[in-house]
Amino acid sequence: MKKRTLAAICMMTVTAMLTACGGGSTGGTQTTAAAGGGDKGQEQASAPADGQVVINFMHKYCQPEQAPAFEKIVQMYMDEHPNVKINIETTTDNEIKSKLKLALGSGDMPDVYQTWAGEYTEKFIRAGAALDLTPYMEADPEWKDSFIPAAYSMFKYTDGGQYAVPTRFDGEVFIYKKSVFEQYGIEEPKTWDELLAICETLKSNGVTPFILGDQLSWDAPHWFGALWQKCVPEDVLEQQDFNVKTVKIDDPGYITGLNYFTDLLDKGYFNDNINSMEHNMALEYFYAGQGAMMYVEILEFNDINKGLNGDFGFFMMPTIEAEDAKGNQNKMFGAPEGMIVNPNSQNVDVAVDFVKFLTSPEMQKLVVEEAGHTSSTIGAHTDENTIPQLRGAMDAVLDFEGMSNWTDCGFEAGIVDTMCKLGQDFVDKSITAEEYIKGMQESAKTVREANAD
Amino acid sequence: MKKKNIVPILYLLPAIVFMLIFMYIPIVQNFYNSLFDWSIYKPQRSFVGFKYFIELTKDKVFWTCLWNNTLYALISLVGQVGVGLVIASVLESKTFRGISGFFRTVYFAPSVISFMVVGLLWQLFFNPIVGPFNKIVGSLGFDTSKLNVLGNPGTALFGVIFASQWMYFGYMAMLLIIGIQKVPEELYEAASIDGANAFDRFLHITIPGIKEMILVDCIITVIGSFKLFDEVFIMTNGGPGYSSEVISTYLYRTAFRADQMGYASTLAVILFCITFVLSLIQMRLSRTGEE
Repeated sequence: MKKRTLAAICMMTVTAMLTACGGGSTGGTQTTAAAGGGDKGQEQASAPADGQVVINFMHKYCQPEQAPAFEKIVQMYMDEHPNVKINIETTTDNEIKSKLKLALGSGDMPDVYQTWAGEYTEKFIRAGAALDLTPYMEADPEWKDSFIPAAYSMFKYTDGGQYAVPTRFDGEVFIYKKSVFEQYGIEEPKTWDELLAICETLKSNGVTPFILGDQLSWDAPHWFGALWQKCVPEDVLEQQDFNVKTVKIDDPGYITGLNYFTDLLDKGYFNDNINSMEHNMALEYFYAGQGAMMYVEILEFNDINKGLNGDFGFFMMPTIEAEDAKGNQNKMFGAPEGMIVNPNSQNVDVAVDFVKFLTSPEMQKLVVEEAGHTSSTIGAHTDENTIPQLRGAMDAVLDFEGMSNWTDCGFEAGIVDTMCKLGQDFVDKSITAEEYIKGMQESAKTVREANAD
Repeated sequence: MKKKNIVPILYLLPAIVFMLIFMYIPIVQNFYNSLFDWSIYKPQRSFVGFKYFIELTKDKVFWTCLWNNTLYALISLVGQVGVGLVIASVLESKTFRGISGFFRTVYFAPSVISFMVVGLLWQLFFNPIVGPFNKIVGSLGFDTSKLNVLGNPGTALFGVIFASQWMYFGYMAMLLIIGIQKVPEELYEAASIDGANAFDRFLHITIPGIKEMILVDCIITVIGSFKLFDEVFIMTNGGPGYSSEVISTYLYRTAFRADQMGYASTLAVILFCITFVLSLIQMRLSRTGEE
């Protein structure tokens, strides 16, 4: 009898463990219980029996000044809609990419999630995890017209669908220390040659022109991407090479762009130890008095303003007038972040409504003021809630024809990985521009073959 | 008779089920996955057979990783097991035995700290701008203008290896101290009467006496070297370029950055085979199971 009891206890233990495992795999946690994911036809968790609608919202704004602003917006939405419960999951910039990948694989995709423009979003479109918002925009033109057009169009894809809405605006610009420029009588450059002249003046006065930290391996590719945008014909870059089926990276403009960077490197216009300096450390180094210019993202302006006590101005990547620069000189390098609605959500309409609420001018003003964000919604930035440099940059965006996507979002992920890794070797001069592009071409070939019809 | 035998099996069953679900089935599943071209974002997967295994042999980055893992293992055998052995022997000698407790704690302490902390600490230590390493080397009269340990492809891996040795040699020493304490004291006394000096006693009594423990340490070190991930990921992220990449970081990058899940599964199969074969070889050599 005693043995039978023990055996029964053992079996109960095993059963309990298996039940626990089963529960986990189908989304037993609170966050995933009502997830509408399931792009692979997995079981969709249903809404609670009391009629409450649950929306899972994943974003990457986890910094102490950012997260509360989003919590406040979510709370305001829930107050207005008592039957809606929104679960927030927040993570870091790097981690959200892995988390969404795992979520997609396990069928636990959130109902609303953060994205970047270009191939990054296209992956989700191909996987059937991004809702075409066109019908919602057609039904509510006011919502559509509330976005900066250049930012809005970044999420319009080749089939004409609008698969995300822009939220945080971003682009890459040069910042400079006003006091240093004034000291040496330097004006903001408009052309590449003027930029070179400035660098020479600074260097001859013992000032390092540029500070760059590429330890995380994406800073230098931002330089390369901007130079490729200037040197590679627009149709080749954005239509041939930002497409997984046709990407080749075979235009001579790629090497030309890298040569412009090598020229700066050879002339000693950068700081030493680029590969061992992390981006934030480079910024601290810059704040501490080193260097005169940095190539940064607009969304960093508020932090930079604090670091330099307002002593900075900005200018766009100068026009390259040489004949070998065959890219579009009138586009801005960068792209906004955005929000996707999962089409497999059980509550698609509520999810869309929440995104509409989130991107409304009132809520975007709140995000600008409390989270220090840049916004793609027209009217979110005012003289009261935005520093002059940031307002200037947002206004300058309107002077451009449009935006040319980040190369680390435009190229397929495998190519991006090669671009970042070999980029460090290139900065270190361990490989030449030709070897760098050859490495990327090999990755492009793999991508093309993997995506062939 | 049969009824008697079923009870121990039932006791073992939960552990077996757990091992099956979380270890053996994933190993088999991973091998199966390595035969397909698949990605998280691609709804359909296509069978490619052993294509990725063939590609792996031509992949320069893979060979760099394998060499880096091997180098890490070789240096760790000397730096962790070798140095740990010397320290264990010194701390267990009559001269130091009275105060060995203090040193044991000091040497062991780094191994209980998370490598996240240790990695960032050493990253800052080696930083050419703010770290003290370049200043120390400079104060010795060397030119440090080009010295950039973690930012130079030629030295990055050695920087990671050094941090790792610092962290684990104390742990290895502790394991060996336990072994040394089991060696009968009479053997040392008899050897001393016969005129053996400290080195002779170390060579002819200590080492043979703790042979088993040394081999266990070697197994832990070598297998750990091939499973290496945290150290590289935190300190250099495999860079600059691929210079300090190891198999685990390459696997992670291939799976979660490049989204080439089939190829990443192939890397995982190779990693499993390497560690499995190493375990078999070392267990065979040491005949651990027989003693």
